[in-house]
Amino acid sequence: MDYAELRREIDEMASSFLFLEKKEIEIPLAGQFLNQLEDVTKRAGTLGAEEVKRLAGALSQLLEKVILEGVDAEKGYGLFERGIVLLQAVADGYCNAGRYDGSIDGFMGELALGLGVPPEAEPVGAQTAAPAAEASPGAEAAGKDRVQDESLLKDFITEGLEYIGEIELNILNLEQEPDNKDYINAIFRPFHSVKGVASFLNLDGIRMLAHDLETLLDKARNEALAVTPELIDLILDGSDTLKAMIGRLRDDLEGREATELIDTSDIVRRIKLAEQGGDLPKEPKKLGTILVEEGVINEDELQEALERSQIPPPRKLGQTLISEGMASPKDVSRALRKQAQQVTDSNTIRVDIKKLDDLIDMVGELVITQSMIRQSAALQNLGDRKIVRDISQLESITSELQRSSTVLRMIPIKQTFQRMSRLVRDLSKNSGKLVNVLTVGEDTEIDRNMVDEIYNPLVHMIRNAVDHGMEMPEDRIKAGKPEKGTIKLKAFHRGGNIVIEISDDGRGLSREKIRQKAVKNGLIASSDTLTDQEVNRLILLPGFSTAEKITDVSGRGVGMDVVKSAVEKLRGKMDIQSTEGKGTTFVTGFPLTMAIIDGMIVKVGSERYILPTVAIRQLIRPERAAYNCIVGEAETIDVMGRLLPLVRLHKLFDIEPASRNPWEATLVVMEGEKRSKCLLVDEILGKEEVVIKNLGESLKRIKGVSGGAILGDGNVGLILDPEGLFEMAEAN
Amino acid sequence: MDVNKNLKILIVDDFATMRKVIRNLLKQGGFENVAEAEDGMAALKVLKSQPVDFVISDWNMPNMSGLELLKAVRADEELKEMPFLMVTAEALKDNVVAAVKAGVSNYIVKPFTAEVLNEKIEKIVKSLAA
Repeated sequence: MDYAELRREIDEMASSFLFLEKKEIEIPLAGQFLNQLEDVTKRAGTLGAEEVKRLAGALSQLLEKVILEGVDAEKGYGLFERGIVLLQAVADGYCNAGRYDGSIDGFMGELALGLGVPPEAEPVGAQTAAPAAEASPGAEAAGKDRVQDESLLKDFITEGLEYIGEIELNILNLEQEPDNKDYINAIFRPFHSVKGVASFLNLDGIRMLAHDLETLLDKARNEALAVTPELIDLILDGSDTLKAMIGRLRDDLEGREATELIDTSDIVRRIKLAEQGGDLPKEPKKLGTILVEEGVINEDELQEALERSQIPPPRKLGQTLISEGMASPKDVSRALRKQAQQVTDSNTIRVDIKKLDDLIDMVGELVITQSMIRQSAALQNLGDRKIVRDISQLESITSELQRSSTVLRMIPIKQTFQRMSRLVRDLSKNSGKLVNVLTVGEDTEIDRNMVDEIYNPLVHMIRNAVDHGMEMPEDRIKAGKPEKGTIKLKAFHRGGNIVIEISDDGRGLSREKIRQKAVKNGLIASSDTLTDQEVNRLILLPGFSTAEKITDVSGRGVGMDVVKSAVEKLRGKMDIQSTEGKGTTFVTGFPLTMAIIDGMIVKVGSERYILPTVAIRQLIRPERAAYNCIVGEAETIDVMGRLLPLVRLHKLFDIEPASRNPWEATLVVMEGEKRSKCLLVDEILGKEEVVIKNLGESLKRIKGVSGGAILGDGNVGLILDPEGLFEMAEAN
Repeated sequence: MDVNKNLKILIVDDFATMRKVIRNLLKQGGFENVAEAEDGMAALKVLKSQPVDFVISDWNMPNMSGLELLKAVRADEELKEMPFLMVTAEALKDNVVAAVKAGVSNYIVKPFTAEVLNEKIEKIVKSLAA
């Protein structure tokens, strides 16, 4: 590629320009020029022809302005004409002498001025903004929204509502995969289409709200905004409002009594805030919601009171409640105070999670260093009482510091519960079931880093509860239950774990069906006697599903076994309780944090390892007779009647052990995903809570080791992963 | 010179109400020979199977967007001269420039009146005849 080629292309542009009949660059030609200029810019860049590059770039900008009617057509034509002539001259210079002796700065200045000066033609921005200015931004003006063509309006109402229904479905998908651009697009498009038609029908309120929502989604699509649960809620609220506005339009059109004007100012304000990337303010809770939460009234009473408040003369909810004797003035005023507090509550600050992680990490290091100092022999030999006292003081301060820094990252489970409640509502709507959600223990705290991890398994359990657990309303009535079912989400702390229970009052597990299926699938023999609990647990086994029909809610091939292993990956436990006909409860327990692990320190030869305590079933020293060795490699240990394979840790890691005979060493019975094995170690040194350290990228793939930790004496111990060890043993 | 009002115009938009709106506007301008397609894919099928003189297409559609349709039309030996008017919601600079580079005949910003639509069509048809 050389200058001659560059010049040829510029000349070609100049000649197409020369043959223009009118003093106007029409769109198709502008497109052609833009492509050519882009090419010229690229070529000039590789050739190092700086002036050509700058000039071509500036001319592209000019053309874009002309296309967007941001500059007067004739003026644009004039400027472009001079620009292309200059471009030819510059290219000539490069072609003949490899440089351009003149200066393009004069023209560039003029061009910049020409582009910057407010154009005489009406700018495009103003064209679209103009109608917006007249319309009241808050409420939808009823009379104005009327258009001549009723049939068009009717079409719009039907199709618009359909489109918004589509939005709701896709939002659920987006919630599962917030990064999926296809879902964002699928939500963006309906808003966009609704907006387009609304603009023709002079439905300004609808057009503006749809436009705001579209802008918000556009930002999410371009990753200027993160898809957070708050954003999703906002979009849902927006589409609800839009739906209400269209619904109102329909009522109006069908001559029904006009309902109250829909006030969009609040939602618009929230969207605007979100667009600026600001924190999404939570909608302040309604008075009724607070009272229900406080247990002063229940949901039904609230509905009743709300309806009564509407009866003319309309009263405030609080007034109705007090005059009907449903709540005491004290309750109401306390709730009102609480409501006011939400708005002004600013006793919190937001901190980047990374900063917190770093802090907690450093505190972990501090604790270890502190314990190293305490154990230092030199220090103990000093015999100085004051030092010893000071150090024990330091110890209590550091452990307090560790405790309070771990709490920093804890957040209430509330948000997760709210998302799950919404999910239940949407799922039940789709399946035609009536479900109430009840939450208990929303303030129970959990490590921020765990929240996202536990969400997916919980979602599956919720889906399972709605799809398999809940009956259709008519079946419920037949069974003598209230038409509306209840799903209860409950969280509480128990022994360093957070326990989350998901219970439904649906049909419960059918033990007979489970048994039959398990026998059919060869999971159990028909002669096996199992307790009820054992039967329930069968559904946690791989490939189990009793649902007769596959719906799009559950039955996507994700069985409860997958949920169980996801829970276990988080070092959690899962169990099921169920009474046939009465309902099912899924109980899951998760550690509060992934940063600390409760470990058993074991010794093999001179090496020390940490075994996660959750995976340990038993510690035994077997009798000589319990050990069986079949010729070949398979060694087994008889543990209370069960033959478990023996895994020799010293063999896996190639260490010289203190003893090779199981009856002289210690056996750790460990539980993996589907099986248990006995791990042979020399001795158990103790139990310790250790802070998990990542081994770094390069050591990430090492089998059998999930991380490292600094032990009390300052040495590093590797944390072993039972499942990985089992796989290693099986591979040998 | 007057534009032939018997021009066969294809309206491409996924929103049926929108197609109806454009159809009405065209009618006001005297254009009554109209066909419809609900997205780029469907439009291509129509273009391949029957004579069409003019395309008015929305930008944002599922399956095949207006821009993709435009590119496909321009890349097609038989269709590449087809007058193509792109409908956009706002004059988003990047969108419009992308369409222009892909060879769009002109673009029009929603909402528009029958007059503006007429003007754009006449402009395109006349510049082709010239």
